[in-house]
Formats: sequence, C-alpha cells, structure tokens
Amino acid sequence: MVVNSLNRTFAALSDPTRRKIVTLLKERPATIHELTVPFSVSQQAISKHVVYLEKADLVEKKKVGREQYCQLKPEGLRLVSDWTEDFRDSWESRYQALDRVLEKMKKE
Amino acid sequence: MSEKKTKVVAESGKQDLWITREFDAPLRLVFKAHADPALFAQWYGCGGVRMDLKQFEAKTGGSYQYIQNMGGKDFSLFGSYHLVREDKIVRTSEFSGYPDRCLLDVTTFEKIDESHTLLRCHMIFQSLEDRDAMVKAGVEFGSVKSHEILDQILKEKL
Repeated sequence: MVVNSLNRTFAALSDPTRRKIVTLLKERPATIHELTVPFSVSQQAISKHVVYLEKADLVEKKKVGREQYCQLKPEGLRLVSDWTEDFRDSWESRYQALDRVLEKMKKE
Repeated sequence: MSEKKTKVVAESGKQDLWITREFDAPLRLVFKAHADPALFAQWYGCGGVRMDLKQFEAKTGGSYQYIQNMGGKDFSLFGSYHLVREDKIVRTSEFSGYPDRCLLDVTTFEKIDESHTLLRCHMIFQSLEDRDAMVKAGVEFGSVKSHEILDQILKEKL
C-alpha cells in the first residue's frame, strides 16, 4: 500500500545517521566499512542502520568480487521526492491563483 | 504551464516545513489578499475547487473555518488567528481529514521592493508523523492536481 511504504521511507530517513548514509551513497556505492569512517559509532551500528534502509527499500547490497557494496535504490528515493512534488504543485497552483487576484487588485 | 516558482522545504526527520514564494505585487496587497475574505476566497481554493468560508475573522483572537470538497467529500480546515499584522499572520490550523493534529502556521510578508514581496509560510507540527501526513494529504484525499486545475481554468476562459 502506497501510504504504508511512504511511512516506512520517512521513518527510515528520520534518523540523522541514516540520512548521512543516504547522502554518502548518493555519491557512490560503499562498503559498510567505508560508510563507518565519517561516524563515531561502531561498524555494527552502521550495519544496523543499513539493514533498516534495506527494509525501507532505499538501499540494496551488491557483491563485487569479495566485497559487498551498499548502493541506493533509485526508485525508493524517487517515491519520496514525487510526493513532495505533489504538495509543491498544489501550493504553486494556489499561488498562481493568488498571482491573478493580485493583478486584478493592482488595477483597482 | 509556467515554471514552478513555489519552493517547499520539508527536511526528512524535521517536524516543520517551509513554503516560500515571490509575488509581483506590493506587500500591502499580498497581505490584503490574505486578510480580506472576499479576496482570500478567490485564490485559496486552488483556483478551481469550490471553497466555502464559513468563518473568517482575520484579527487576533478571531477564528476561521473553510469547507472544501476533495474527492467527493467535504473537509474543513479551521483554527484561530493568534496574530494578524501587515507583515505577519500567525494562526493555528487543523484539517478535519486528520483530526487532533493541529499545527502552527506562521506566514510572513517581506518587502523585496515597492512592487515585489516575498511570502514565507512556516508550518510547525506536533510530530514528524503530522508533518508527513499533511504533505501526503493531497495525494491521500484526492485533491485537485495542477493539470486538472489548468483544464478547469481553460474551460472557464472559453
């Protein structure tokens, strides 16, 4: 159900460490070890965060040679931004109507 | 349609959101369009959706209630005005589709120059969940999308 997955996505992104992980992965895929470098928490803690992000369908793991890399699932993020887009669209429509009202007011 | 000018900032994990928009009009007109019910009704209802202003007392201590039909059902938005000033309107807001999730709406009008004004709307919610529910309310309750509004406006012009 669309609504439930949106809740899951937002819950996943509500944590600052996970947000930072997603920001890092936006640059390029990374191993758990590489992801741990900018944080002052253990690798185990980062691993738990990554699992959370996988469950929210935002991140997936891929094996390249002997290493396992985490990478973003583009569809997961697009869902979040589409949703804010709808909200912005509805406000823009409203403000375009206000533009028209202001034009009329200026003429008076 | 023209480019999108409205900016929305809704950071993940934060309980608030910002809507900003510039207008090609002097500050006093932008304020008036927010404080005068006859003018307000012409634009707040998304330019095509019928909106009924049951109450509209734009002054400190005044209350407001608008009824809007979304997806075939009537919803109301209501609250109280805490402050109504030419550069700032502060009010509480609750949407009947999400009962008991009142938010604080702080809208400011800033003069850019004699004929341009910057509007900033800061909405502060009681929880992250409330903020996210508000953003998805349009999708969930089937409010009119911008292309549908354009169609309606084009029909009116004809």
